Amino acid sequence: MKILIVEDEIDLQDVMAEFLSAEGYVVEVANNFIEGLEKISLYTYSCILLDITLPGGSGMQLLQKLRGQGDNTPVVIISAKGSIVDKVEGLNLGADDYLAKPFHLAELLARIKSAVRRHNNHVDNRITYKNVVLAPDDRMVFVNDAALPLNRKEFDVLYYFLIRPEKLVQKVLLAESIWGDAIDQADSLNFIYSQIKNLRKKLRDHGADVDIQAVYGVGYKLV
Amino acid sequence: MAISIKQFTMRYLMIAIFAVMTIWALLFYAYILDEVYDNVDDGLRNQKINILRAVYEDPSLLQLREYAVNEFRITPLRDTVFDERNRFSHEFFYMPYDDEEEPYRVLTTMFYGPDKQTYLLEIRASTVERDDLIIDLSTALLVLYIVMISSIYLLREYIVKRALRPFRDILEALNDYQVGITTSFAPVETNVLEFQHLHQHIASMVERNAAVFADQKLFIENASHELQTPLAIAINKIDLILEEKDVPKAIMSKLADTKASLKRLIDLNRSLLFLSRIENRQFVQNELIHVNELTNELLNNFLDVAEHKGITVNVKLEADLYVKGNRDLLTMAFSNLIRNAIRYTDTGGEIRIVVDSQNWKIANSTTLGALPESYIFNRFYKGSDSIQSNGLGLSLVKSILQITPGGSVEYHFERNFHIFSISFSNS
Repeated sequence: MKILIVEDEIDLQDVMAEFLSAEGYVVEVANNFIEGLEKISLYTYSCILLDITLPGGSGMQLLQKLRGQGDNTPVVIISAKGSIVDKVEGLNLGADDYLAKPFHLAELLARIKSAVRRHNNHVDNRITYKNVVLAPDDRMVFVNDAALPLNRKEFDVLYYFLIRPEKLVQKVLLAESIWGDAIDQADSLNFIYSQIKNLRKKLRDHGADVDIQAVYGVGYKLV
Repeated sequence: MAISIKQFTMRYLMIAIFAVMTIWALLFYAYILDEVYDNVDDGLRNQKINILRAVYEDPSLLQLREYAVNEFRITPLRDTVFDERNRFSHEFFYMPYDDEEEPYRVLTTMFYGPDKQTYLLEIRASTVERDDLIIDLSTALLVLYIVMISSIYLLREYIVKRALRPFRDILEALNDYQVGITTSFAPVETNVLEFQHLHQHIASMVERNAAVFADQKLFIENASHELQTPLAIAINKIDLILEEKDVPKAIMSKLADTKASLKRLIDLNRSLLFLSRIENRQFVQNELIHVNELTNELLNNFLDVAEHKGITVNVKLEADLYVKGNRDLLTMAFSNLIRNAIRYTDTGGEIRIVVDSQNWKIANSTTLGALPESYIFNRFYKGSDSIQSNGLGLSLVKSILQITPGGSVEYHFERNFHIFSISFSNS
């Protein structure tokens, strides 16, 4: 899968590129509006990450041009502006998602995956790891083909683990991405622990071969 | 003690007029007296001529030794140096009519009678009583003074009231002026030059203030905005390091702590950005929001946490509450209040949320007393717990409700419950 990052902050560009490459994506970058426009017109990508404020033009214009050409490549807008107006405008122009800077890299990955998944809705999007299968579109989880009843939050937690099995999922990411504002950092430690405990118990009780392990108090990983 | 400009001018006017009138009275008195004497003296001189003529025609008149109906007397003189000059003097004579000594003007002169003898002629004429004159003059002046002062007082009431109206208008406009909210100064109608100047100066000051304030607000917004990218890079680099294999445990947890601190910085920065955006009125307030639905959505996240902390949450949706405003802002206001309630309720405590057709209320039990109502909504106010809070939460709630049409938020304390009530007057 090929991803284009249109972002003028080189440091941020590097960090995203490094992370996504490690996740197995082929990453291309564009530093400004013209470069972005060139790459968009010449190549096809699985997903485009688009900054709004770019030297030489706006990410919004780029998005308009792209959609104007009838290209419906998934686009995730990444903006430091974080303003609601931008978000609404971006989504109206056909962006698939909007992520405000600063963000967790794992969150970015989750957004890319779901944008790509929604784009390929005719394809089988199910995520399989060992004997666990997660169907994002139906929000269902199966263990050995038997449905595993999970509540909404548990499903979201498992989704974050399954898109990156064997990798660290930070507690802060889970707290912020799934419970949002609800959690104070001081509480999150305990709270996430008890949520994970419940999820582990359900997985174990249903005979899943996967387990969730704590990683040095920083987060967890699915093994 | 402060006095009004009316009293101020009156005090000085009274003193000044009194001084002027006193000086004037003295001069007037001297002048009148001079004029009266002059007149009387002229009469006396004229009488002298008449008497001398009469004496030459009828020498028997030389025998008039006492003042009588003729108002003169003639005394023969011996061995005196002759001096025909007229001398005037003041003397008092008994007047039967008044039954007292009265002032007279007396002309004293010498003449040679038809017999070549030297005679002393004294002619008298009743003149003004100086005491009476002084009393009369004083009375007249006092009356004049009182009349003047009272008419000035009345006129001043009217004139000052009219003349100072623009001044009061300016004062009122100044009173309504709020930095950053009032951008122009209400015009004041006046043709008084001073007030026009005053108004112009204040108006231009207001404009300058507005510009400075706008700059300041924009600065905060831009600064917060510019911080986002470096913060993003910092936390993402930490993410990358955490991804590395074989990172020692100690380093990993230190990095996680660093990230947590950065996260606080990000939250603070976002709150600041939000606050300045709210103040810069960058939010559109035209969405119809079903508050009941929004509350349920938010609780969906919060209930897990409350349950985890062992807090009972009772929600009573008594009536549908629809509000016109901005969804993102109200979401933030409600979630700040719910999060605070969960944060500051002890295990085993209770949170109550009541929604009716105009109000959204949240109450949480506490073992500590009431909060200081007057400054909990201030920026950077922090309660007992300063680690989790950035001190902007309630300030944001207040700002949000201020720009939501008809919105307001209040705090009160009742039977060991903190109660925050949000009201929408035009829901």
